[in-house]
Amino acid sequence: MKRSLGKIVVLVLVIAMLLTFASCAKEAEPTSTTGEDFLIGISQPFMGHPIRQAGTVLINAWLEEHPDVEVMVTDGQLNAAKQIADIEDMITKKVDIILVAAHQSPTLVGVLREAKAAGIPVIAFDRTLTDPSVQVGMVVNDDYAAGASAAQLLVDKLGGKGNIVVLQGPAGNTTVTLRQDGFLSVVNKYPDIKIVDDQVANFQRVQAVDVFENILQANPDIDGIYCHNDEMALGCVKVLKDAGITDIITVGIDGQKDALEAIMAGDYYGTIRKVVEFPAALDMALEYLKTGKTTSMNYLDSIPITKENVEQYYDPDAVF
Amino acid sequence: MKIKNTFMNLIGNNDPASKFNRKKMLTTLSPVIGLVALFILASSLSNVFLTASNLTNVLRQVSVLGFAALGMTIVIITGNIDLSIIGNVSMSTTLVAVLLQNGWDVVPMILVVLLASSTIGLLNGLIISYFKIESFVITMGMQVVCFGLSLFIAGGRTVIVDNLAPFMLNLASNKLGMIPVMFIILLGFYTVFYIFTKKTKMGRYIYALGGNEEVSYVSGVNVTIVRTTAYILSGLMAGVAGIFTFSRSLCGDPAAGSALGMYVVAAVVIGGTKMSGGRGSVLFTIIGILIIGIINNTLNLVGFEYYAQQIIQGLIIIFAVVISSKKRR
Repeated sequence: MKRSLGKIVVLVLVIAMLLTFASCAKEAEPTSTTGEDFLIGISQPFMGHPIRQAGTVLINAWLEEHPDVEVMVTDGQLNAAKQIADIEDMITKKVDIILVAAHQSPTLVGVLREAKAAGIPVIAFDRTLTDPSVQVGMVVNDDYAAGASAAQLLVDKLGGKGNIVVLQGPAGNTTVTLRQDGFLSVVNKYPDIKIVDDQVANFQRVQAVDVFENILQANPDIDGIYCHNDEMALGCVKVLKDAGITDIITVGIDGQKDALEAIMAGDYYGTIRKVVEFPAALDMALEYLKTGKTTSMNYLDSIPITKENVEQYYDPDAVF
Repeated sequence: MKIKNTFMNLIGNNDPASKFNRKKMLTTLSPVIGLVALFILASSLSNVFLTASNLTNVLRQVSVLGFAALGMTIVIITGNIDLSIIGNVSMSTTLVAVLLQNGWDVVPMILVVLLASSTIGLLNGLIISYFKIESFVITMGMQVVCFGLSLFIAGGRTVIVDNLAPFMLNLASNKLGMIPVMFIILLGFYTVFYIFTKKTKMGRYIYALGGNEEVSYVSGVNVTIVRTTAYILSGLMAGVAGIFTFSRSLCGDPAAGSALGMYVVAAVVIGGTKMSGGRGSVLFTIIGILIIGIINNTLNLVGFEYYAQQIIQGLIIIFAVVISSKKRR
């Protein structure tokens, strides 16, 4: 009795849903009817890193100055499928423009072409897109160049020879691949530089501490460390400090505030400055929405920072 | 006598206590009521929810979860759990990418992927049966093994495939009217599995195993074979989910399966299948995946802060499991 009743209800429900499909073939009206209000979709790859949190602070500050703009921020949770779904939802919601930092650039080719077909412009921030024909502009960091600069910084300090270890971000991540390839492009030119260990610590400081402690046990003869970001580098710096080791050179990428503080204190050798893409990306979006064009399509600069020039970039009030 | 009644009850052929029971009926129907309520709530919260393109999106977004949750339903009905599914999905996704990249045709590629993913299920079933260990622990370990295998297969980075076969290119994006082909294939799998669990001997044994393993054993059912079959089916569905994950993202991401996370378990229990095993239905898992899909879709459309989204998603999983275990008797 109850079982058959359950079946009937499921059947009714399926029919109801199909009817809904049939009856709502008409598309929704655009959400922004008044010409002056803009809805900007911001698709973040994940929210767990300080640079994303800094982005949120800067976005909110920018919104205070632009009351006519609303944003829809989504969190890709480090997952390609989630980010595709996020962008699909933005297309349905008919946002005026999409700002996207791809978790895995190739995965977004299809959905961003759908956005373009739906008449929604796209701006890439932080990371380049596999198919640049969908974008009207970009505000990105060149991770390959950053990896190469970090390598040069390390190699120069070591005098072109020594044993180094590498701590990578999450395997398979686009940024990781670029920062690694850029690094290797320089290091491979120096036959006396040996990579004695190459491990993954997922961009996380706590994991880097554990991984590097183990590396240090296995390889006492290390001259330099390259980390794909400052978070991991600061983890290594902490291990070295606790162990009282001062002759190992650590370099990273990002130039976040506490990394610059560690450089000033002399604990951390150097980093490559990564610029937070906000508010630049929002300014570009608004410019496009108002004028129909963007002025710049450039990479943000990758600037090496060591003790010699750190004062110039350190801002005690910076959010990143 | 009592044992016999219980057993007959569990295999669900004839129901001696088939009197009208309002409380029981409410329990069975609560997922459906939940879905209808959610549907109404979502429509009132967002003016774009009830558009054809958005509903198409929802069906597309839940399909991969649907394949994975189907396998999980079978395993949970046997009273076990399969946490290796998400690792297995990742492994299958990267395997699809690597095989296609090496110039394999679609059909042999699909066969090899399904064989590999089913083998993971076979190993799960055999290890759990022979060593009599909690399935939670073994499949958790297998999940880590699978994530490692994904990275190994993919060479540590996302595999990009050049010159993709049109079949794979369009598998996830094709639509029949407003309904994604992927979702229609999903419904096909659910129908086959429903018939399998309700109409075949093995299907009845799967329910009986979850109802009471000892009773099944003394009744002469080969418990090892039944459990291993459930795990093989679960592995098989993880492979199918992997193929569709690839067709959706068009690259072999070694972490692809992690998006499914606990949603696979949540979809099953939201659909009313009991974690303790023996009761539930694969059809109701469709309700579970739709509920999860609509919630995630609506949270995006309404524009909830991302952290609020995570909290809500987590609470829903906890809520679903609590409801599932509370109504055990």
